[in-house]
Amino acid sequence: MRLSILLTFNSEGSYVFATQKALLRMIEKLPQNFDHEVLVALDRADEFTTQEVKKRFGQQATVFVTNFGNPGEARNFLVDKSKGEFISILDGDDLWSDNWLACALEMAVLSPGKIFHPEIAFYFYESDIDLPFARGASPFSKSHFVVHQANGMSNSEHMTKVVNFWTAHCLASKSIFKAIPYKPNNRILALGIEDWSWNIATIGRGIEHESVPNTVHCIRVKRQGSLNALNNSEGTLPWLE
Amino acid sequence: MLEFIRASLTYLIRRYKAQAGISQKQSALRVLLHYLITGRRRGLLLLPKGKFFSANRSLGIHFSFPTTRDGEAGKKSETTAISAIVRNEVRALAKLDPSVLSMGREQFDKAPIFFSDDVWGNSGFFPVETAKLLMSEFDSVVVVPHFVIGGADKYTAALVSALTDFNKRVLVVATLQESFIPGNIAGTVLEGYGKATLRTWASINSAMELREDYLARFLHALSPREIFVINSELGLDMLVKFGTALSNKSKIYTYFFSMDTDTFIAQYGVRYARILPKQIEIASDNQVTISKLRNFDATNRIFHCIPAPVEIPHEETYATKIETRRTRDKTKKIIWISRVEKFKGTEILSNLADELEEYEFHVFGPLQTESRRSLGLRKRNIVYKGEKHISQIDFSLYDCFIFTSLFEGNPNVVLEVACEAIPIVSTDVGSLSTQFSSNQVHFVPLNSDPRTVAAGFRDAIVKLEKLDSSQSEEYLISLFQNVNRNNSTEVFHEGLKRMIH
Repeated sequence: MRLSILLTFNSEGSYVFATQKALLRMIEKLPQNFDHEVLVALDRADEFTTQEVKKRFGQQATVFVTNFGNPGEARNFLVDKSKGEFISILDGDDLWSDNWLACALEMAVLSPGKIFHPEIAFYFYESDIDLPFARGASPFSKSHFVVHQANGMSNSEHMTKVVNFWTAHCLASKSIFKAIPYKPNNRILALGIEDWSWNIATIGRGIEHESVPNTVHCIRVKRQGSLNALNNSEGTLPWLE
Repeated sequence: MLEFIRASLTYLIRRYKAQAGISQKQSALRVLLHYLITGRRRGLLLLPKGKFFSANRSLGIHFSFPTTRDGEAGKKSETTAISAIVRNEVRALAKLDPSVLSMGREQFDKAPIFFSDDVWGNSGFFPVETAKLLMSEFDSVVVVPHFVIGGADKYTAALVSALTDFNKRVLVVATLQESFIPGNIAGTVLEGYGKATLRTWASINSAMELREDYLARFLHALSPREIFVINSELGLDMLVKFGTALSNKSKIYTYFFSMDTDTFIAQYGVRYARILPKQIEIASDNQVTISKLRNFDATNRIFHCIPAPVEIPHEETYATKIETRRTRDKTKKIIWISRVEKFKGTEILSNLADELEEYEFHVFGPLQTESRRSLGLRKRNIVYKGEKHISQIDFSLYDCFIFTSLFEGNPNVVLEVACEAIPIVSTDVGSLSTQFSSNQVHFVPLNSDPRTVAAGFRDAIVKLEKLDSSQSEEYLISLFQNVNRNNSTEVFHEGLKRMIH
């Protein structure tokens, strides 16, 4: 059995170093009986990011240069290129607990019809550094935890259309990604937000999303260049089907 | 001391708004409501923990609003929600990238914890009400600020009534109304809303901040066939940003009734018409507004003019009303109906009462914030008769109806009075003169001097007195036929069908 680990990069620059180190920690924890491959898409990536990815991942990953301009299509491309029965989707500027891939894979093998996400997301704001503080704490810091729980609410076909309960990071059977590919962003129609659209589509087809206990995904919240802020300012809404 | 308390309260409210993600524009009352409804459940503390500290050689006080989940039944507490394994892993990852712990190690141990399924607290929706509505299917959603305030709401009620007559399932969402209890005055709902589902946005949206993205998500999830946005600022702001996305699933219409700028505030059409995405069609009840909107449109947008409907009496009923008028003497009484406020031309009325001392002026309509004395209506020959529905007024008691308003779209009251077989004298306002000839409605040109306009009314009333009865009846029949032709429910339904089909 093989796990395909798919990463997309665009303008992560010097964050690539930490991402690659975190990935190595996860791979070390993978069960011995599992083969793995790392596929990377440099999707309209800037020069510095391209250099960094090639330098850091050159030995251990297959790197593709793509020109889609959105992560959804880049992920679909990598899914097509992948050879594993299971696929894990990762973002190029985030970090994960070393147990994420191993624990998620263990659960996915037992329940191949489900989609797995880290239980905890830790949103860290680099801007927290600049805040005034006293006694080591600042009332203004924004970093926080979000706990993901699988239940009737987070797997509700209706409610997931107004609230995106799950992050983009997941691990599931390749057959799910092939049956329900990511929808591309369409600026003319103002529809996109590929991960939310994919969550709506999968939950709509009755595929359950579940969290993997004691796993954490650290999400970098940047001052500028956040895709969420861009989507909101451009009035983008998710695809509903 | 009072100043100190006021400053402290202002500070606490500002801090709470920041902590709870509420717009700084929201009033203190809404902040308190937020705390009572949502903040307590989320474990936010309204009163902060204060600590004195010394830093940079000065003494200060530091407030924090700790977040705990302890108050929430059935949810994990802070200590168990994040396991030691996870906390240690985050610390380990900080060795690869120190910015993970930008907040500092000490603060990290107290980092707020949210639950992704806490739709109420984090995502701005009351889950039960939202899910219930999302599970229902609606063909049309109408977004309004209030269920009942003025003429535009009457038009909206007629629109909703027509949509339900077309067998459409209609949801009406009031974005500014906090609540409504059928039966009390604030909860009064126009008859036309009868078969529709009515909800206030406050009953769906748990965030105290009026955010256009939440409304857009909700409407997107509902994906009705049609969305109508009428005079709701939140709805219009939402359309500016999310109108293109929403138009993939729904046909979207917005109404502007006037493009006046001479009032207390410029009308919404002035502000929004040019910035709405081109897929959104604009409708109005009058041609004057449509012409103005067309003139500055650069998008080839589709416009619709659908005049307001009024209840048209049967021709025999109207003939009886004319007969009654023929058989009675002049009463020297004149009727004035409108909201009692200066924009409705109360200064003209006051001057006219001086000009025609032998006449008695009966004023009908709701009083607004200004007193009758300040409006110049405390006069011997001006009698305030309170607020009455037109059907409750005996128009045969009056020689004519005067409409002195300074700005209008296509005033509903004139259309309604046109069915009462009474001569009408009106300022040449809004689109009235595009619908009626000067024999049907006797127009007085508007200018900035109320005395000159009042003199115009005086001359028109004197002229009316001199008309013989057959000529007067001819004009009244022509007035009735005009309204019958343009403002019947059937004509309104036809216009609406053409627009939405």
